[in-house]
Amino acid sequence: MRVTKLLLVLAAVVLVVSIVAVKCEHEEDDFAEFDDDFEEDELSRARSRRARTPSPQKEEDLKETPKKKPPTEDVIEEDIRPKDSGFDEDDEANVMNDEDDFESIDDEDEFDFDGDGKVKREMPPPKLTITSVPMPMRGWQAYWSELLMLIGISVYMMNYILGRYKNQKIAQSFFDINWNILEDNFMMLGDSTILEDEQGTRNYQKMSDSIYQMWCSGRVCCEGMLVELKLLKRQDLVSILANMFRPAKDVLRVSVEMGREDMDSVVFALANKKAATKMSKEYNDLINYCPEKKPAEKYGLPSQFVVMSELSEASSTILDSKTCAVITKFASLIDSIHFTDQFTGLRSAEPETTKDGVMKLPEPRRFLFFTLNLPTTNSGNNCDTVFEEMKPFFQFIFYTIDKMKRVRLSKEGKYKADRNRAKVEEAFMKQTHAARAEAAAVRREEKRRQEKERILQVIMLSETLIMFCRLKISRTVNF
Amino acid sequence: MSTTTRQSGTNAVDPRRTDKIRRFRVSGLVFEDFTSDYMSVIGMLFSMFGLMMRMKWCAWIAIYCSCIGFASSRLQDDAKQIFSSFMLSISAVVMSYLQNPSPMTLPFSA
Repeated sequence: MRVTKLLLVLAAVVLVVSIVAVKCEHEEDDFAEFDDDFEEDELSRARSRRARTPSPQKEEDLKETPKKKPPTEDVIEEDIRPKDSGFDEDDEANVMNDEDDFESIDDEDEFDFDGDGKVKREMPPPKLTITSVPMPMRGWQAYWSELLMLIGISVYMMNYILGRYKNQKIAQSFFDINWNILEDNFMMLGDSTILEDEQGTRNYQKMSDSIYQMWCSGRVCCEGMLVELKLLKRQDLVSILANMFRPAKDVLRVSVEMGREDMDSVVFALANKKAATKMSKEYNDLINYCPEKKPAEKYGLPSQFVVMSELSEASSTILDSKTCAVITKFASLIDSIHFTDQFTGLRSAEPETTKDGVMKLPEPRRFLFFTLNLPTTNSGNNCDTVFEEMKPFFQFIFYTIDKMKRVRLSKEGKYKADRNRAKVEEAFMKQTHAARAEAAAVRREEKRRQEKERILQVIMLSETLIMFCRLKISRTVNF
Repeated sequence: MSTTTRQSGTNAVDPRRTDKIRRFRVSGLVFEDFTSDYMSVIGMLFSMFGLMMRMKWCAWIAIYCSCIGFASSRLQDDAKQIFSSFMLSISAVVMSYLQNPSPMTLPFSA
């Protein structure tokens, strides 16, 4: 939202500057145009004036004018020919035309007056015929760029329909294949708008043409599970072209929210190196509690992975033999696995503030995140095969949910974890100390001001009462 | 809370619980995509340029931006904004050709 506001302001500034620049350019051109066309405009105005004021003509005059014309034309011809013998015929015609144009103005007969005093008009008004020019004048082949644009838009729209259908098919296939396992584990599938409804919508939710999700709830050991499918933007042609240069994959993210009693104080993450770099910079809990990255080979896992953990005993407990086997089997699919009891969102997110505008310590929540990169093709033809092969991973997710309930830190581990959390809280309080002190001072000042106002109001009221009583007394005394 | 057996007949414990049903709360980790917002702003800019500077290619690009914004839009987004972006870009194209019906000249052509 901030970015869009900035963009809008920048756009407004650019528009104003460009309009001013264009106006300055056009000012000179406007005057130049007037200068060039001045004579022509005068001529046309004279013609239009003549056309507007037709003088009454007698039949005799009308008869006379055609008779008179030839002699004047002849005279002109005789005059011109000997002088301009070197001219071509065209030039002669132009010269004649020019003289004809001005003839009506210079002709004395035009302003002959009768005895009645009426103005005679010898020259008939020129007939103007506007020829209709069919459009387009240039031919349709001149509009090749417009045709290209229209073809591009139609291709984009066809791709939109096709891409949308492909994504819909992939999402439908995913939820159909995994429906049984979800139904066996959760009471409610699909968030319901009616709280009393225990069944839920029993369908996934379409957030956009490439993002689908479903909330499942009603299970032991967890509050609920959100299954999110972030597919490639197959409906956007520009994204498809961009994908050719920067390949991306469909992503499946399963976010399991745990209850307070369902999970101990654990912050653990396993990710491939690229994802680990990104997570360690963006996730608040990993920044605060897991500053170091350890190679996953230490735990018998493929070398592409990296482990970030607050306590080594927690990572040893989580990465048991079964977990390691599943991770090794699905190593090509796993992007990251993240268990945390201190999840407060991303660093880039806007912090929560109190009524005074002071930053509030965010409430940590307990989550298990599983992020997978799906090996579906651009056309999505192999989605059924991919999702069938992925079914064991879903079973591993439920196994992990049940296991986290049993994972309990030792006394020493618990003490270390609590100490770390207290340190983080203290650091946050120090950071916001100045802001909180200022907010407290503002509140105190506000309170004092309100008390003063109340006292002033009481004083005013009592003064008015006293004055009223005095008036009453003086009246009764006078009476 | 009583544990019940599965209807399939296995001895596994049914993990489903009616009293554990919770409403969905956003976790703070969402797939954010601002393409639709950016494209609607850029589309409006190009429409304005196309109308005021009488540049036909700007108006055509505005239509493309509206199309991309529409394709990237979320269901939560207001449909009126996308519709108005489309209408603005189409009106820019129509007005440009009404004022000057000649073919479009590309920006870097002679």
